Amino acid sequence: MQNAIHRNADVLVIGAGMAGLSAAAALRKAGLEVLVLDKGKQIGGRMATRRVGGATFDHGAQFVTARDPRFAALLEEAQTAGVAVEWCRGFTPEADGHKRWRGTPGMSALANFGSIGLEIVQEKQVAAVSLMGDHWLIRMADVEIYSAGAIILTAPVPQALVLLEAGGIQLEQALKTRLSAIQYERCLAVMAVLKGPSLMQAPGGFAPTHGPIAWIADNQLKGISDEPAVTIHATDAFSVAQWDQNRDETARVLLSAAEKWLGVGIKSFQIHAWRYSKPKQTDPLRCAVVSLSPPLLLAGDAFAGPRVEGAALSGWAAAEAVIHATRPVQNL
Amino acid sequence: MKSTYSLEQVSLIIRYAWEDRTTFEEIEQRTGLVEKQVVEVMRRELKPSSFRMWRKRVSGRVTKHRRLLERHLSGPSIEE
Repeated sequence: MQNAIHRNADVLVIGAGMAGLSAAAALRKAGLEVLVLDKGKQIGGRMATRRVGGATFDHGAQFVTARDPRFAALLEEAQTAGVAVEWCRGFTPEADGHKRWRGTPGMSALANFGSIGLEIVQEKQVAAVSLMGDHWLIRMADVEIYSAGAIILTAPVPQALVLLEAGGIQLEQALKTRLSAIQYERCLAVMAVLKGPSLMQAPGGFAPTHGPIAWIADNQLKGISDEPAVTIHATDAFSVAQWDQNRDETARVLLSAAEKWLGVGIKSFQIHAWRYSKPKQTDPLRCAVVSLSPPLLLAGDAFAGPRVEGAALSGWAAAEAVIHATRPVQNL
Repeated sequence: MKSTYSLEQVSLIIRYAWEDRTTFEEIEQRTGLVEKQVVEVMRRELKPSSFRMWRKRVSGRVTKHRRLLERHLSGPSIEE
């Protein structure tokens, strides 16, 4: 059995989005050997930026805010490193004065900054997590098997639960009830390159109060795109209703709904479907402890708040739990 | 509620109960015994002085209770 294991790690972090990267960085700082796995071609999860010729789009998370001092300090660090800048202090004329940050050149730059010094295996999808004695066995979709002393699972909660179930890990009833209740909004995101500047006003973000569009952003006004380029996020209701429809037709419906803010022709467009875009419910605790010996934790923006900041705080909390579980016992 | 356990079951329960970082929730998953039942087994099986020492060690220990640990890890709320 031993020779079938492809990799060993003290701690395996599943998912290289904000939660996973924050957890991994904290664990590494504490001196643990950490390996991060991500199923995507790009790290960052919803901290996503796409380029189409001279157009650049943030098509996932749109901006970052900071309320927690530790997270604010991280953003300051990112700013010093030249990967974060202030976008604006609000999107309506009566701006609330609260800083909205963006990554530069795009949101993915923040994820790349957070990944510095970490070992990350990309395009590695986990199929099942199971317990073997005092450590975890992780079966990959490509049938490789990894072993780890601790796991922090940062996939969207419904996907995380599937991985545990596939490996025969039973959750205690109260925890199962709590985690099963966490659901996510869906979001169809259209990225359109425009033939000229849009009609939108600085700072370039707007949340319509009705219709199929939840959010529209002009990436040129935002300061990340050389060419005029807009990101359109459909509402959860519209995304759910259109999920199985032809994606190009759905994109055209959204583009025509956006016409009054665009006022100019479309050069080209793409659509991306976020199955888990934003948690509908937020768990009141910062992470979920599935097991402590050996540690298995769930983290992500479903825990500390449906924001980039929440994901980071959740990742840090899960890392702290692993550190508690691996360090000599203290009287807590 | 089961009232008698085999020797192996009892020694396993005692081991889990003494482990600082095996939560009562995990013990329940592994043995079917809730915290109260674990306490009963410990009261019955340990010398009174050992039992008191164990109670003192686990009471309020965050790594012994999932909910305490999760609360301990959760700083102040960051709601707007």
